[in-house]
Amino acid sequence: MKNKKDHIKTPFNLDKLDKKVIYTVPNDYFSQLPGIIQSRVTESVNSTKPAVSWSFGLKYALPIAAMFIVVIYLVISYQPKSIDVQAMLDDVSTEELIAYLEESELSTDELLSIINLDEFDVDGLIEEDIELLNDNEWDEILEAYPDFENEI
Amino acid sequence: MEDKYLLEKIRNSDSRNYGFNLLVRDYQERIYWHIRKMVIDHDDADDLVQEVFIKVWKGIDKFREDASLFTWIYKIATNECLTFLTKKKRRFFLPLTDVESELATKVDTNSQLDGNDIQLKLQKALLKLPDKQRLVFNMKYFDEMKYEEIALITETSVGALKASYHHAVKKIEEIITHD
Repeated sequence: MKNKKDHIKTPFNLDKLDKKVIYTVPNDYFSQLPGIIQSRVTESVNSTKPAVSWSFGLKYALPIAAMFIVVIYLVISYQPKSIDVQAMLDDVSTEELIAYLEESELSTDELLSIINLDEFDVDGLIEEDIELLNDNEWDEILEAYPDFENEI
Repeated sequence: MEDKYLLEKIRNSDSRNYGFNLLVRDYQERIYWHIRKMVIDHDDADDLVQEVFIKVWKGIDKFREDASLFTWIYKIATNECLTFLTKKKRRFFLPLTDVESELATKVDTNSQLDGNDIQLKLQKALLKLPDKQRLVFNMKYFDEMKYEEIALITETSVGALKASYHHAVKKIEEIITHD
């Protein structure tokens, strides 16, 4: 017959236990550890240094090259733009042009000799002039130039 | 060795390496065992303790001296442990109990343990605690640190730490009693 007390375990009391860390370390571990750590520290310090050391010449060449690039850029940026004559003329109104031509000392023949008129411009001018002629003027021209009517 | 002396040596470029070497020799064992009790495996603890001191080297110039050097280094070590254990769980998508089993297996299969049966049971019972609670227990029980110091390291209130430790003790006693 089993004793009931066998089933009642003695409560464990932590305070009565000898405080001990049961783990062990390899021999000489702590004598070697500082050296291992120091070598890793040295390695980390050396790894932060740049792999390539810049030569004396390169140290000055780079800033000069940078300045040269900046100067070239400034020169290109501030070059005056080519004058667009056509655009300038487009800005002048027709009235202003007529007023200028009327005030100028150039004759019609001189103006016509300066201007390069194409075929359409000439036909347009002729038609305009013809519209401005009265009947008497028109008769005089036809009498002088019988083939004129055929040519227009 | 006094913090002031160590910091003076380290902050001088001529004696920086010498000062750092002294610091490592001064703190290495305490930091190692703090980490080892959490991660169990020596190789993992070795990696982590090296990482801790590398971080100390990199951060020593920014150390504000608002706490002791020991507290600062211990805090770095604590964070490294917790990060390591969290990554371990995420990497293999292991639930908490599987990581606990893995660590318990490391305790069981470690042929170089130096302790009796009850002390072995204690280590395995500790693995059943959440990482932060286990951390607090280790610092209070094994390292015999004051609650105020643990509070600085874990950035937890003294009251919360006392409650955490009390519950941890009760839990462990119950686990070992019924083991």
